[in-house]
Amino acid sequence: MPNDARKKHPRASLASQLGDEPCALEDAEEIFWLRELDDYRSRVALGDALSAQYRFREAVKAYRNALRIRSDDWRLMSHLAGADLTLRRFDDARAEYLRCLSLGANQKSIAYPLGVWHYLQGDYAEATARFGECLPCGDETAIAAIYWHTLSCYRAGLVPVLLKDYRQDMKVGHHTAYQLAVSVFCNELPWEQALRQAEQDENALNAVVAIYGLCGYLSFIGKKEESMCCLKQVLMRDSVWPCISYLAAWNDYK
Amino acid sequence: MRTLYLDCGMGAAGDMLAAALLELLPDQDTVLSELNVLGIPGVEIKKKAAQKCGITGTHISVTVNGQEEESLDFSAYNHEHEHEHGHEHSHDGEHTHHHSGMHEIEHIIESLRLSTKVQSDVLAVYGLIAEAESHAHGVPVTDIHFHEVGTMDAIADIAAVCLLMDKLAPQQVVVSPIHVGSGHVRCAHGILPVPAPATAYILRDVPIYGGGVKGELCTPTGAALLKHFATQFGEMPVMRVKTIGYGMGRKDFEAANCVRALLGETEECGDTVTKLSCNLDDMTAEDTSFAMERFFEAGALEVYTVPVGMKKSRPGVLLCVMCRESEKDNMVRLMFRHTTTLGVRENISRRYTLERSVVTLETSFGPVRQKLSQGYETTRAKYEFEDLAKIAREKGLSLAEVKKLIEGQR
Repeated sequence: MPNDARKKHPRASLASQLGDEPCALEDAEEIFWLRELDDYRSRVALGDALSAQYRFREAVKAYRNALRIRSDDWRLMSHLAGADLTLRRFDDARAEYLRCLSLGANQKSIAYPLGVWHYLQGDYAEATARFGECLPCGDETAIAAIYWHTLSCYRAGLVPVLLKDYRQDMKVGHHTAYQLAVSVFCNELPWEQALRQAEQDENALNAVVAIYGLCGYLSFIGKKEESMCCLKQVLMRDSVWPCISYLAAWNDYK
Repeated sequence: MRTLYLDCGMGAAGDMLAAALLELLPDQDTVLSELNVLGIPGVEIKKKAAQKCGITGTHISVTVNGQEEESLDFSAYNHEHEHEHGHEHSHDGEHTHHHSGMHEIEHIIESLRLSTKVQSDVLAVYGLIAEAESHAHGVPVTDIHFHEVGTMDAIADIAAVCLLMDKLAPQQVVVSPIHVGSGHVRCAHGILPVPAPATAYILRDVPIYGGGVKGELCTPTGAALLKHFATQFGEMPVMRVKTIGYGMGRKDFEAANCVRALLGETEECGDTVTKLSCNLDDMTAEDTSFAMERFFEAGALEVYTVPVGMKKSRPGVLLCVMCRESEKDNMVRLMFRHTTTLGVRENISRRYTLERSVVTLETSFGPVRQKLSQGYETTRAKYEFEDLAKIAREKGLSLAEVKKLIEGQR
């Protein structure tokens, strides 16, 4: 995110959410007003607004307050699970994702975050199984599932079979960063060219997604030094720290 | 006495009241059909079962041209999608509003297929809202434009409640202290404290409380309906409940967001009246008589004097004014204004009354009213004195003769 945009839309730091640093962020006006309301929708909206400011610790509290009113809404449960997963509260997140299923969410919609859950836990074989459950689906989700499935396979020593589902004409929407990495996984594009392209991307989120993918690929093909370099490049872009690729890089680096 | 008790522990809105009252009726579908042919332009009223905190009730939804309108006090926020966890974000911050003037509202109400009585109730409720909006905005009633309350769905809610009240025909409506909520609310005018100014104005002299729930629990429409129909505000009276209705609100809170309506019979245990009294020794009989007339005009239930001997051997009168609690302040003001007293005493008395009704009899002398009283195993009938006296004067008869002649015609 450019600096001026960050000033306009301040976000909580990683250290304030995953570390001990205090979060001194002031409430956005919308958050201020949402705190004035005690109804279910407002509490969920408050959690969403706090999540948007990366204030996941407070968001979890807001979602849990909403749960006190309604505990039968799987969408709320998935919001809560997402926030807990971001905060690396793995046990809570897993229980909440499984609760989503019992509340009526379909298996497919929960497979992706459960795959992420296993990936961040270092359980790569299980992660491949979950990402594999996402397909068939729309191209926009499919490209992300192929990306994570392949990275999981690299680490689990399995064959990345979902790569056969990749097509150059996939309608990936705004998921172009996943496509860039997957095109390297498929040997369509040299990794050096993809890395240059990703480094020049002004959108930090796209850069992080693509570079983390290349990091996994380079490690898989034995280029450990280049892989570590990519990892550090990802970690430099902490303005988008809650994105899965960044969290995975942070996890790897720890 | 057929009594309706409305439990407003989570406030009240027009749709909640309508749903609660609808639940009290045996044939709800027929009533709903009737509501849907009132002639409110583009409006369809539907009911559906709803559950809040494990309690089952009815939610009424009003669609205008197929769309359900929504209050502005929830505002969705907008933000960028910047992370990948698949959070679903709401972007429904766009709202449309209809603004209607009082004249336009009156025109719509007068065209509805409602009895004159129900129409007058609807107009009176709107009158309360209009007065409150007028006061809140500092403009004449004719200049105000209704926002949430001016739209067709609000007309439907108000018309529905008035029609349902007419069908239920309670002899008294007791409303609990009203939980109005706290904090602030966003509406068409901007950000307002809770209760909103119009609601607070309507609920003057009504027991209300803010409680711990943040949000608007009582809307201006709900407040106006309660104010119009309530014969008394207070705790639930001793009553034998026959039917119970739960009208569910749109929002979910930690407490069940509903209005509970209980319809039943209260014991004939009388009611309470306020007795105001003062001793007078320096007023003429004429002045005292004039004052007594003013008290009756202002709604006193009874006004009487008792001769008393006062200090310094002065003959005087004890003036007693009995009135309802709600009239007390005004009556005290009138007592100070129209008498020479320097102090007024107050006593709360329990009053036991027979239920009274009036029928008009057709006689050869013309219509004669007859007062019927019953209760406590007693039934009485009495001709209206003024009617008898008029006939007696016109016909040159005594009152006893007129009574006898009328009896003979029955």
